Amino acid sequence: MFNDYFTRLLLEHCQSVSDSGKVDDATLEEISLVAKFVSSNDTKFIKQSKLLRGGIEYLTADFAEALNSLDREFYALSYDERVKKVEGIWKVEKEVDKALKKILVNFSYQEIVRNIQELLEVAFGSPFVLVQTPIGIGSDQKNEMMNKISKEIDEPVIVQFQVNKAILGGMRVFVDGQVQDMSWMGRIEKIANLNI
Amino acid sequence: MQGLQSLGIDLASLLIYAVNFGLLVAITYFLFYKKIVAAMDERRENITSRLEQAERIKLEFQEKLSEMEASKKAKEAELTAELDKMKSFIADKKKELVAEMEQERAAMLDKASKEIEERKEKLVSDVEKELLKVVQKIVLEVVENRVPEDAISASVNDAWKNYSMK
Repeated sequence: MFNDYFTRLLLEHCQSVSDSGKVDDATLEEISLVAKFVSSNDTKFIKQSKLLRGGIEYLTADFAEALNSLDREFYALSYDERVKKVEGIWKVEKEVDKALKKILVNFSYQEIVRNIQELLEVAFGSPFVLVQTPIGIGSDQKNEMMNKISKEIDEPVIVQFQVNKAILGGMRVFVDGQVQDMSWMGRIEKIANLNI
Repeated sequence: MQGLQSLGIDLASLLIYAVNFGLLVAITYFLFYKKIVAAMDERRENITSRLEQAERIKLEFQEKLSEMEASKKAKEAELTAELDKMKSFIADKKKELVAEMEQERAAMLDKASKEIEERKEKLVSDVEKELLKVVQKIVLEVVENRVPEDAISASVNDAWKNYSMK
């Protein structure tokens, strides 16, 4: 999914190196690793390349903010409407951003989050994080939650937000399978399961 | 001599008589005296022996009698002791049986009491579970259909605050 993004990242890096006129062995090694990753898609290069890890971190920053600002209805819109909406919320300037914009309009929320989570797991060992709420929440709150959880875990993470009406109120936070249940449903179940 | 004759006693005849008597005595002595004496001695010894035997039997009988009495007394004492022992054994057994029965009775009462308590608890627990189910149903009904969206939104914010404060 992110092959186009990493290719453009590589090209932009080459361009900036070319513009600066400074080419050393380390830079060449970085470029070589990103090129190998793009051609083979082998995740072992992620651990070795700072540039790749930086690119993945970027996914949890600006790109994640753009992702969080899209509500559920966005994915039900037509392609043109989605493009229009993305352009409205995200100022695309760089080539890499163009690649990410394509991803936003062409893939579902779950697919994008799953792919970023897989990359983060390989690059940083980040856990899978899921937040369930009974209603949709705003992008500011999503970003706040993501930053807070990321600080808490001390690794870059992308949080998958899921609307689950069955929890009625409150929220549930899943971090690598461990659940923090602060939902109303959880409380009702606790009361119902009391061994009086 | 003439006087004797005048009395009609003839000396010759007297002499003959004496000799005759002497002869008779001698013959009798030689022929019967020893046998008579031996028979008399034998009879006396026989009687003495019988008397001694009778005395010995009497003594033996008395001895046997006293032995029997002693034995009887010993048997009586033994029987009395056995009887006492038996009475004591029966008393002990009775006590043991009573204690055992008491223990069994207590155990049965305890078991019955526990069963009653368990059934009571189960009954109460079942009722409470049913009650909880009804409460859960009512709460779900209220929360699902009658809680405004603002309240749900506020609950998400509260939950997030709680999570952040950890």
